[in-house]
Amino acid sequence: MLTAMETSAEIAEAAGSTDPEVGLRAVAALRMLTERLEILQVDNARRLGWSWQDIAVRLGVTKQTVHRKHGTRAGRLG
Amino acid sequence: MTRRRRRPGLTVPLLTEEARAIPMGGFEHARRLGLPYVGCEHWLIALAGADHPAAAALREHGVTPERVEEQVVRLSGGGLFGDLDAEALAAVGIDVDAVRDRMTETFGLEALSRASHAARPRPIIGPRWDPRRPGPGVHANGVFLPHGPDVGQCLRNARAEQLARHDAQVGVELLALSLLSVTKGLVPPILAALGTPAATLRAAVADACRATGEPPQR
Repeated sequence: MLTAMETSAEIAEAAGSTDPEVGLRAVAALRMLTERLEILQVDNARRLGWSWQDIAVRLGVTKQTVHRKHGTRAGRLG
Repeated sequence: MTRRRRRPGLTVPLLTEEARAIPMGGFEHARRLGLPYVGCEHWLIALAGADHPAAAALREHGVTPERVEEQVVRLSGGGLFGDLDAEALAAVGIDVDAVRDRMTETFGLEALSRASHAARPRPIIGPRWDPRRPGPGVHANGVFLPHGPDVGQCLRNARAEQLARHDAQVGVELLALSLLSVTKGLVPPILAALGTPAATLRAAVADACRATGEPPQR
């Protein structure tokens, strides 16, 4: 999730809010949004027959990380 | 060896044919919205759209099927994005509603509902209720949807009131009154969001049914 967090922070910074209240809430919400989208996309990729390795490469994490996070759920879809 | 017997389903013998349409309608709404359970909020959508004085009274107070459904989607359906901080995301230029619409269009409500489960191991509608270990529920058209925790409460309310009134079965009016009395699940927050207190609606339903002289279910 590191990549997603960096991106989120960049977006928040781009919005130019110097108020930490607004900025931090935005980052937290973006992180949650990213996680939800990740679930949708990983499920979809597994359903289309993608391997854990392929998914991990696209997400910029290791195969083990993505498998640990989604394996029990999305494994059944594949 | 004694086996524990399954408790008989409360729904079927309890309700009149007219009233039975409401749980069945609720089931269809839950299925259509891609939700993994049936709760009283789905019955409320069906009830609000029914052809009955009780339903007309609800609609007069602004409890229409469309408005209830909107709240159901906001609180649980498309639930994958329902609890995100929309205001904070708008501050960085992300419109959650647009994201939800786009994702629903691409993947369908069912996928969103499945992902919503995965994102939240515990459902938002009750801390102790686990949809992976369902108790009672509805089986129809090859789909099983467990009942939410509020459905049992609603049926128990109806049962108690039915016995008190010495009615043979529960009609639409009694079911509506019981539905409006539940304290669990999403019905209370939905009514709060619509700005109509449950007590007002109960009085309106009772008045409407008395005015049209619906015979008691004996």
